[in-house]
Amino acid sequence: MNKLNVSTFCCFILSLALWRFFGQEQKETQPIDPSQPYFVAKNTTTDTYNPLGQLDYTVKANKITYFRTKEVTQFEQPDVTVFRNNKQTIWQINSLNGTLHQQSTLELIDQVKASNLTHDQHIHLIKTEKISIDLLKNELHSKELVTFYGDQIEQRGKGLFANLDDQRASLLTNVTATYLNDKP
Amino acid sequence: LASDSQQPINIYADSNTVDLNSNTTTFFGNVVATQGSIKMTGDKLIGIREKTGEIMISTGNPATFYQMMDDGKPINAQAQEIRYVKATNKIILSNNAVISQLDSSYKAEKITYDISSRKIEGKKGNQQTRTVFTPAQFESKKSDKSAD
Repeated sequence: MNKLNVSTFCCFILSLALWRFFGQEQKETQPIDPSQPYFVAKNTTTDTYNPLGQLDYTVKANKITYFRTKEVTQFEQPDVTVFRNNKQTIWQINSLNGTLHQQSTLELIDQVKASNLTHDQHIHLIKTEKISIDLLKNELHSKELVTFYGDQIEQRGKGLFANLDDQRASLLTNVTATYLNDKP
Repeated sequence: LASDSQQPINIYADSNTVDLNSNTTTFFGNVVATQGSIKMTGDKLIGIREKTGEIMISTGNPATFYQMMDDGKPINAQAQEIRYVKATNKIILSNNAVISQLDSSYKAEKITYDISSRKIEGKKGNQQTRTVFTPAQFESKKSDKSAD
């Protein structure tokens, strides 16, 4: 194999390498359109576990749309079950629509219903039009009109703050409550 | 009124906090609770849901209680703490307790007023004085005073 062949062979390899390198870079630089979903899925169940491996919360939904760039997940008909500190109160929250922002805040809107799955507690249902669940601080927040329902009890006010750890929920302003008489 | 205890209790306040563990709700700020002709006011009111019915503990400076009696003579009471026990239909007034009807009034450290029988028991100092007033006696107390 004389000198000429060797040098042509080297030039060929070099150009192949350059072509492969630049060729790949071009492919990568194609910008992802943030307005387009990264994936869409139907009839989903998403289980999320805490670092100890305990089931933290579950989100069932008719449809989820995930936008990777913005790290936003949109849910249709989300049904969220918040387990958290297992033996404590377990809340099941559903609504017509919901959005999970950066895995930390889950916003549920339109006909929001939070059902208290723990028996013998005097408030077993919370209704409002918008609730946001702070999954890091374990809190529920709302600025809307909120109603608590219990056995023969109804309490209504504007604004909600609830801490799932210490089992308390507050109506922030303009509270009216009705304690009905026991059933005959 | 006799029908008061059959009425729902309505509470109005600036804010409230529900404690799911102890099944209590605490109402804060300009608290007004009504049940038929009964009206209680205070700065804070704790509503405890017991199996036998609600217990409402109103505190304020003072907390007040009002009820119209069937004979048209209203009862007014005030104290730093007023405890309304629905099951026994009694109110317990503690600390600077005063209960009055028209121009008769009764003061003690602690007063228990039985709404159904309309009897009043009072506690003064460390002595338990059972001074039982019924409205009729309220009436005669007033006429004695005017006869003096």
